[in-house]
Amino acid sequence: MRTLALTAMCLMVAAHAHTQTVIDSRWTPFLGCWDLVVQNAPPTKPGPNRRSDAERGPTVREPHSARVCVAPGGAGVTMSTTVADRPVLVQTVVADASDRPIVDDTCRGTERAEWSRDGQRLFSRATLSCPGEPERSVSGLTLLSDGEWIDVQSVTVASRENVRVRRYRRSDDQHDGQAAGPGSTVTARTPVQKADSRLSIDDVIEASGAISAGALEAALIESHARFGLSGRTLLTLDAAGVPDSVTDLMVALSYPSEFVVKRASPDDRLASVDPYGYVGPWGLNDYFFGPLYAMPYGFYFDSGYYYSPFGYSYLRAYPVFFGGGVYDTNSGSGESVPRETGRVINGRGYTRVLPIRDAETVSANDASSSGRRTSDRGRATPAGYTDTGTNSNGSAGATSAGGSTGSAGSSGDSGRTAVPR
Amino acid sequence: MSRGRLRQQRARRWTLAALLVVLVTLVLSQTAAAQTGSVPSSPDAPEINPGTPDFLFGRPEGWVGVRAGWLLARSGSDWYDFVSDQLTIDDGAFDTFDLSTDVGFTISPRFDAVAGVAFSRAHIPSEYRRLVDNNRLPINQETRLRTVNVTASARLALRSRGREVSRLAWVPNDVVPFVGAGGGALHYALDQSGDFVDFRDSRVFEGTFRSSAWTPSAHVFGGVDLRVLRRMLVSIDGRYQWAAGPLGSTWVDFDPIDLSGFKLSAGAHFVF
Repeated sequence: MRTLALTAMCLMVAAHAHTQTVIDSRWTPFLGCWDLVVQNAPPTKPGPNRRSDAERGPTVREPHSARVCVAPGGAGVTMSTTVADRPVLVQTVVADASDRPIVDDTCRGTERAEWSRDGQRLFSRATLSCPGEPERSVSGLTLLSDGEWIDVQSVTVASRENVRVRRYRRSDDQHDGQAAGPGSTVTARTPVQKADSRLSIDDVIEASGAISAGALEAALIESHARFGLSGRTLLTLDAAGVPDSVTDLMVALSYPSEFVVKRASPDDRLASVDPYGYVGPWGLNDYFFGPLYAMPYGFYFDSGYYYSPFGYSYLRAYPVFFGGGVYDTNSGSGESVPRETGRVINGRGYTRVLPIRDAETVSANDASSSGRRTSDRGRATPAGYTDTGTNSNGSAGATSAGGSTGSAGSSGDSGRTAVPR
Repeated sequence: MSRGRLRQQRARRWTLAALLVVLVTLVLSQTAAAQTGSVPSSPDAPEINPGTPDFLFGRPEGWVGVRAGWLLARSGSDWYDFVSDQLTIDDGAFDTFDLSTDVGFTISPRFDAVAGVAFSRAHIPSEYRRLVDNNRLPINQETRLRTVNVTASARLALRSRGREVSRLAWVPNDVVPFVGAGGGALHYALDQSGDFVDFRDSRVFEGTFRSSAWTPSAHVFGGVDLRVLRRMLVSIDGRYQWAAGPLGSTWVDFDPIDLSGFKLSAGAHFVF
């Protein structure tokens, strides 16, 4: 009986352990609840050695802000989004790199999520076709950086790409060891990232093949990426097909003494909320607060208002992502006064880097020999030299071609005569 | 040594020098072409603290440089024959140090428009070859020939000077051979002073013979740029120039003085 009880206990422990191991460990850092971060202070002028985007106001949770709780669910995780403590969206995300159908009454599409090679980032892709609407493609990148969950999504509609970035922070009221969800056995407070979570060059190369350039650019900015770039690495990036705009941004971020990368909007997090009132907890825009896929699905299935690429409020947060102009690059001083090291014109793109240079002028010396003329009393002919000044025999021969000046001078009779050696 | 033999020796020297430059240019061109396709498979650079990059934040718009070298004067006109016959001015006496400064502006990825100024100055002390004075002392004089050549050239890089990876990243190539051609205006100033012998009565007199003029010039060149620093190149340049200036009225019945020659120089170019 005692043996039987021990056996049963072992089986239960084993089953329990099995339950834990079936959870993809790459989700572990995400488990738990996260609050959408909203800034409430405009950025200040950056100091001389700081990137302007590093200057942010304190973050608070707005009364009606969103919270996302991630819990193990099936082969992936379940993300429950609440706004003002009212549930607005529950979704399951399985990052198995397989296409899953999106089926709606009228729209069709697929979604796909997969982890990066090192399991530190999650790439997502989705496409959706609705009758009478241009096809939409969505690509996203989710990563943890500096303890925050950064979610970048890019929506391309009719070749126009819109990028949105959301940042989540661990809920303050979540205690260490708190279960990530009902029935979960996974500790929520786990190390959220490796020691250096910054994107590496290899990470960028990998991501460039998985998500759109715009999404990758936003991720680079949001994760404060910086690289040790060299000509060799740049050629590697080029050979790997990394978009030029991404490379430009990598250069700009890596050389803060030369460039400053700025967001176009002072409040990039959710600048769209207030101007358009989308933050209302019961509006369709509640989908906006969900991290993975929340926006795309809400985007797809809600009112036609969303279908307009410029109708989205978040476009106000990243307007410079349109038209290829992505970032302002100003002087390293951080001042807004542009220097000639580079500029990016909104809607037009970067201008070429123009290092300050002093105009070089080449001045050719006028090597005129005027003023050196002496008395014209000497001549030289193929027969020899002659002194025309002291010898009454006169000069020999005719002058040469014109256009030149010539002169000869002699100082009179020295009493010397020449003899053969 | 006869004049004809001297000329043959000079011609052989120029030919060898020109062939050497062409050979070096071709070898470097092939080497550079072989390097073009080699793109590293994996970046080795550190991920942090970029420091001073080895690339530029955009395609250079031009360069400015200075070169120093040696001019092998062709000395091919009858004036040289005359002075080398009369005076102890030997073959190669007008070979001299040459200093050039250039500024180039990028017209296209491989073409530059170059403006330059080159200076040379030869100073040759001499005495009469076959005559001495009545005190058995040499009859001395000095010959000075100064040239200033103001040129404009088109310069073609035989391989791409760099790669524009993106708008903010331009990776220069380390070795870039080039060729070019151009023309200009050359000013020469010839000054011969000292004691001379009047060929009519063998009297020694002190005199100065001068001539100066502007004359058109033409040149072809080839060489190689070697990148040593981010914005600094060592440029090796071999060029041949053609020019012949009219002699002044002091010099009677002479052909225009030959100012042609081969010039081999090296210097530093700074890209901007």
